[in-house]
Amino acid sequence: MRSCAWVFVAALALAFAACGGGSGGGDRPDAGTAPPPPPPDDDASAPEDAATPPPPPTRRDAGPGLVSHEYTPAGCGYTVRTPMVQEASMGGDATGESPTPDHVHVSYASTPSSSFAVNWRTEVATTVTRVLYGTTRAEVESAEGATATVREQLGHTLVFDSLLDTAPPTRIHEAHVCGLEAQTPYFYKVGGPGAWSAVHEVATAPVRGATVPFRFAVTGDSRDEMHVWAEVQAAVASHGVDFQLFTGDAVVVGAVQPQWDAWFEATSGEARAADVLAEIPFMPANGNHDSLAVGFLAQFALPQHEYEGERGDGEESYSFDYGNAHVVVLNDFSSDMARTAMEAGAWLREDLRAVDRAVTPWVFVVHHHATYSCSTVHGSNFELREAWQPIFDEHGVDVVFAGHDHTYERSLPIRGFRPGTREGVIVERGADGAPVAGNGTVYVVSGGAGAELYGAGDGCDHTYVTESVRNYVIVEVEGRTLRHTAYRLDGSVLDRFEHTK
Amino acid sequence: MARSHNSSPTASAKTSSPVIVACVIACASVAPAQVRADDVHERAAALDRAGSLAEREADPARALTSYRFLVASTPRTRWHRRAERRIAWLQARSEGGFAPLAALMEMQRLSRRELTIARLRGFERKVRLFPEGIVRRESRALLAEAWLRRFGRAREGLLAHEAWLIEPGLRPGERHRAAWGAAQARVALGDARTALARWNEMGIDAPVERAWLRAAAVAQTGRPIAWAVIVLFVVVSLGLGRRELLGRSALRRAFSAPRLGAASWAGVVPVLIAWQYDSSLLGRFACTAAAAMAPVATCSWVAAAQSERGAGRGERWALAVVTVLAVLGAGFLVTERFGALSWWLQ
Ligand SMILES: [Fe+2]
Repeated sequence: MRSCAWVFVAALALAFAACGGGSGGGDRPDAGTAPPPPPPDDDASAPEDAATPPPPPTRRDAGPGLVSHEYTPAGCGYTVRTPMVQEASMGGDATGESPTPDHVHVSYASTPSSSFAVNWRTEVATTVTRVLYGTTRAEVESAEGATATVREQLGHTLVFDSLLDTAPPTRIHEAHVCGLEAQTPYFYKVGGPGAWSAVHEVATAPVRGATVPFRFAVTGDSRDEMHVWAEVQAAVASHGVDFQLFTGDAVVVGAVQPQWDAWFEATSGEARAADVLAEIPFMPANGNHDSLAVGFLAQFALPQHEYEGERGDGEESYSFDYGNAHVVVLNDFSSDMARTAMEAGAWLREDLRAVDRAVTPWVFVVHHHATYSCSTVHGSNFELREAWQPIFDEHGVDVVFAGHDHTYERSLPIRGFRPGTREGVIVERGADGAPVAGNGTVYVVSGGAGAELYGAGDGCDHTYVTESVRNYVIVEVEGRTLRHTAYRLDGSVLDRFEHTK
Repeated sequence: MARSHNSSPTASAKTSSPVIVACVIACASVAPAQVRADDVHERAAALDRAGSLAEREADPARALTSYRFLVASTPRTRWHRRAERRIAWLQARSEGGFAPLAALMEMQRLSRRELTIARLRGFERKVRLFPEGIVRRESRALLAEAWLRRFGRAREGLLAHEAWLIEPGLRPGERHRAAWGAAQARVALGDARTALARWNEMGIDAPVERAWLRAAAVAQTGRPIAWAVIVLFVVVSLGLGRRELLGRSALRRAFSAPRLGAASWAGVVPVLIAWQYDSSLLGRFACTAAAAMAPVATCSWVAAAQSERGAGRGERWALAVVTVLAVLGAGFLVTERFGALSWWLQ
């Protein structure tokens, strides 16, 4: 009986010791094989009359009660295809009782130097889907239709159901504006006569290869805490970024529309996420919580590159050029990670092969599941690392941004694997752990825009800095110099490095 | 874009001299009709760069001047909106003639190594003299989070969070962070019950945090009770102890094939579910299952030994009661340790 008692206590102690204490997930630990079509050439994007009626749309049925709509927006030269939804068509003329748009937000769905896309929501009865735009605010404000200086573009609209029966159907509108001047601010409003949104301003990018400075933000994992998401957006906007990359997991369940509604409507005092999303193009990666749900696919207009095995209307992985940078956004969500890693990897390889590094010397990659993370919750995803790092290495990708772990982390520059392992080789580092002359990829985890924080972990060779904290990243590119600064939500600098090549 | 060769503003803004920045501004004041489109962009970029540089050097007044010149220049470029945003941000923080903001910027840009406790204390003294406004609020935030999270000092962290919480004009998000930090500092100081009471008084709608604090308060009471019953179990077992425990038939009876099968099922199924759901959770589920199975196995062993020696009815009942309590106590400790208690309390 004596030994019984000791066995009991020892077993308990052993179990506790072996498991390393209470930093579990439930804790709140503060304490197609085919290459993509080449993007339209900047110089070839001759403006056309945007108000010309678009060619007759095609409509394809897809299973009981679900349809998709496909068309070429006037002047754009590319096809837009909606996900499978309850209703999808070109915008109509109907306006309901309260037709004023909300959730207005912009993105780049094609060449950022000559186009932008805008999405918004209305009540279901409102089908009018127009955007008025021009270079003078007052003229756009007073216009009710196209004028000598204000142009009009028509868009499509769709209706889809939320996963929760209690939520009403959602009507989303989307319009693509093309043929614009590079690095020019445009004013726009959306909706239709008698039901226009406020006027917002969005700027086109410098042409591909231009060495003018630009600045972008990286945020991720906003799910859970909408106050924080609003504060992060206000902070990002105050830095005057040109666009925002998002590492995934905007909401907890991508199929539940009320969560997206809360995300678009997030506020904290005078800080309003909607004010930022309406003016700063938002380029998200799909996270496992967003799960390529219709709410993700229908509410963001993203470049529709296709690869074999795609499940997201081509929007799950895409790339674009901004000035002298090439940005690739990859989907890594799947029930079969190995297959997704392989398929998206094949697409990535083709995409990067087409990049002319003399024109776009900077290459950034964004995806969700971090390939290098020291966090105590998820940590590194070795399947993705094994599949993608050789491609990053081959093409000299500069920075890979990921999320999933709700922390901030930056790796030392890494190139290649140690023989017989999946551990990266840390190459020569400069001041602040920065790469030297473009040698080595830096892996960054930024998943602190609102989700419950995870433990940062320690003891990883690859890590230069890590912290369990709400955070966002601001990257400034100026010619051949990159300046990376990560901030805590209190405005203090969490991490910084500069890299010239 | 074809680059202009009129690049002197670009080059000069890379230095920090206010004289040279003034030169950039002078270049910027050239009438628009005299410059080509590319020059317009170069000029705006140079002013933007001068403003950014001034901010990096913690000189908000100089930054504001650069941005104002940018906004006044025509035609409008993509830098104008950024400058407007920076102007709005800086003007909102101009209290005390920018001296408080300059001091805050100096603190914000310190690297992890550069931020020492002495520096933090020095800044804390300065903040007490700041006039009311956004800068004081944001300075309080920096102090509170640095004490608690970067230096792990719960006592200083609690005081700093309380000072932050009483700042006027807190945005809901700031109030939430301040209240949450104060609650965590109290829990770290071993006073979860007060932390929960204060949190409830504030009326913040945050079920996850409330559940976490409730779990911490329950654990504060429950942990000593759980250890007490485990100790009681040990004492009773020792008191009733006999050599029968290691008898072969007792071992056979305790670890019979059906019992081992049932235990394996109970332990393996959650692990399999965790593996299917999210492989990163596998370790945690495996540890929880192992920790929960250990006392069950032990109790089974003790019970078999008791029946082997033909213990009296009273002894068996006494052992059964303390064993059940000990299993519950162990279960409570495991649940609390692995954070599952807050899930249940949500
Ligand atoms: Fe995730």
